[in-house]
Amino acid sequence: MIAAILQVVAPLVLQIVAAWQQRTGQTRLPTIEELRLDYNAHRAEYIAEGEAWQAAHPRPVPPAA
Amino acid sequence: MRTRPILGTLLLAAALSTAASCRQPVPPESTQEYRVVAIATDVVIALGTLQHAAIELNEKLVCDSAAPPVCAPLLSEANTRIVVQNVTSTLTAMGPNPANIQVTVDTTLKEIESRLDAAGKTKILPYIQAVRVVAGLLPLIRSAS
Repeated sequence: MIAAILQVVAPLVLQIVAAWQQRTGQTRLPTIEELRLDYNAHRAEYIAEGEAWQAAHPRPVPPAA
Repeated sequence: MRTRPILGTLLLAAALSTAASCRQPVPPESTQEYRVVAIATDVVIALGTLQHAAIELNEKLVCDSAAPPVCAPLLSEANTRIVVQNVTSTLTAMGPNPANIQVTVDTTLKEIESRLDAAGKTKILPYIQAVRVVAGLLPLIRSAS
């Protein structure tokens, strides 16, 4: 009987606590190291995209006078 | 009758768990360094989105109704080059440790804006404004701390 009640009630309580923590912004945030990795990953990705575009679209050579 | 102590125990466990999470030490996200890196990441994403939008607009062709139809990219190659060159060099200049990037980003946006032709400005200005909004948060962090 007790085990059955626990099985029903415990997840509900955990859900309520998790929802409250999420509402109040108490979920886990990335660490500064993770944030730096993310910053540099995005930077590298966009630099690569820009360099690839420039390589595929070389500046046109002006016609000789 | 026996459910009351059980419920009481569960509520007490929930209260203790909540209290424990409230008593954590000063979170790292409250430091200025953390906030600067977080905003700088958003600035990088905004700059990357500006560049990506320019490249995508350059790939899209629009054709008129003449026979044979004359087609042109939504954003000219010259305008795309202005955006791509400036964004790439700015992202490189920002370096692996973002600090004092506000001036660099402002200069880049002004440079792009001044060099685009009228047609290019119409299409790219919203993306430039978006980068300005995100980069504009950096001085607020410094003044708040």
